Amino acid sequence: MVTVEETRNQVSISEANELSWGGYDLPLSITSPEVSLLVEKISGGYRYHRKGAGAEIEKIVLSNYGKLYLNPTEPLNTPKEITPYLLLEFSQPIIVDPKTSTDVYATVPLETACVFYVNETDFTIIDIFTLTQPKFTLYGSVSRGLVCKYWNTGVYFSVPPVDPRMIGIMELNIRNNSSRWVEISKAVFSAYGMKIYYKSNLVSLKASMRIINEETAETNFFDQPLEEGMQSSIELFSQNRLSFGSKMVMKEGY
Amino acid sequence: MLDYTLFGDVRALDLIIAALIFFFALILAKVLTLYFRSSLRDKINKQHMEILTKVIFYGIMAVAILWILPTIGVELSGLLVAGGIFGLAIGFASQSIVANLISGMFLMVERPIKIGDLVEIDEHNGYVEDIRVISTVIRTLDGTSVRIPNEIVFTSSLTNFWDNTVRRINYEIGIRYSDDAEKAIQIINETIDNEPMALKNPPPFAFVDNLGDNSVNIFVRFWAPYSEYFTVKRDTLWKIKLAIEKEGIQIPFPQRVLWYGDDES
Repeated sequence: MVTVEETRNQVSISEANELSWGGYDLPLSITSPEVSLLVEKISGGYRYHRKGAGAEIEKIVLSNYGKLYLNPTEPLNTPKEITPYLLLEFSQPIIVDPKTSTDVYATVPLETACVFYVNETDFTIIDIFTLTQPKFTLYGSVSRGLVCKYWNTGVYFSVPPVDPRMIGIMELNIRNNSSRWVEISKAVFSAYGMKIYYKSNLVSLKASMRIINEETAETNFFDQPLEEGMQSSIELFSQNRLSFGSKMVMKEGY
Repeated sequence: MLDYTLFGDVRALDLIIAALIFFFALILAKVLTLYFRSSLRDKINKQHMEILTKVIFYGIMAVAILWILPTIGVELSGLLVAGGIFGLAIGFASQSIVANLISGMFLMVERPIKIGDLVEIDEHNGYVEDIRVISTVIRTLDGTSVRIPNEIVFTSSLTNFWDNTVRRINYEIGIRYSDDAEKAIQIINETIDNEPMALKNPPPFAFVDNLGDNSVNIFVRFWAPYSEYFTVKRDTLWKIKLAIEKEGIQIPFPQRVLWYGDDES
């Protein structure tokens, strides 16, 4: 049995007043209005403590080397991972004429993965939380539908101002390949292959939605940042299990 | 040369035909077992697969041998008489075993239930622990194991609570006649909206369902993922109770208003 004796670290503590994406030297103290994170040096490792964002948790990491990365991640882990699908409901339906392609912007909820990071191949996720209100919904029928994480978003034609700690921006290319006008009120995405990029004031995703016919559409992600100089986020869904590709065929309407 | 008699009435040709039938049956049995192995690999577990493929293999070979024997001079009529009586006795004795075996095979192929499903079979509620060739084992909600013969599983009414993606949760909540029912409905809707696992779609529904003897009864229904059904059902009802009481709305006890004739005077 390992006994951990708590000792205060003599090195300086990184302090911040708000969450920001990226790496932090340890020990660390972040106190924001929504959540406070404290990583203390103890004998043999670190003690991680989070208060806020719906819970108070404490963990001990038995490693003497490393940094803490706050990494934006797929919004499908909290309060419990029960589905790999994200459904965006548009607050205003989008009507698209036949054989047309257009780019719009939408918002997506974000979750924060606290990553104890030693190097590129040696890291672990010690906590995941979100500052948004999680909600689930059903896409399709009761017997054959998919449970999805739910998010209501506006439709924008330029990057809308959002709080980057909790909301990301999706650039969505909509292409109507059918020969009819279509009305789009929702889009469902698979978390497998969800490519998230971030910098301090922006988290972005690029995706496409291809309308195939009156009932069916296909969504997909692009592995591209929205702006230059953005960093690729760690993908929890493709990391932990077999990837089934990022395409999602919406057979129950859009 | 093919008409050359080897022994008794058996010619060389008969022996070749018998060999051909045997090898054809052997190839057919191998092909069929390979086919069932590949097509049912994801549907039944390894142990059941072994039993099923052995039954198929040895079944085909037994038919082939019974077919071959007369051609090489072995008469089956004597065996059939003795075997018929013996088979009749065995048949009566093993009737239920065969019925369970066949039901088990249909269960494995049709798969109305899977290991881990929450089901109700023959008044037993619980999780499916194992689907065997003869019986199915259920771990009931109070932690005991029940072995149910497959014939009962197959022929009795079976409820699979986890067959669909989502399940509906229903409550009936009574409030006093003096309380504001519209406000109560608003609070109930807000509480459900704040519960992450209470699904946005199909939309939740709350309405005054009936005017009861002691209370105005509000019927509430919403949906939750099947895996979260019990937790959501348990937690949300208590949250609703606390939320409506916080706003001064009460759930009344049964009551009776008494009128005394003397009061009229």
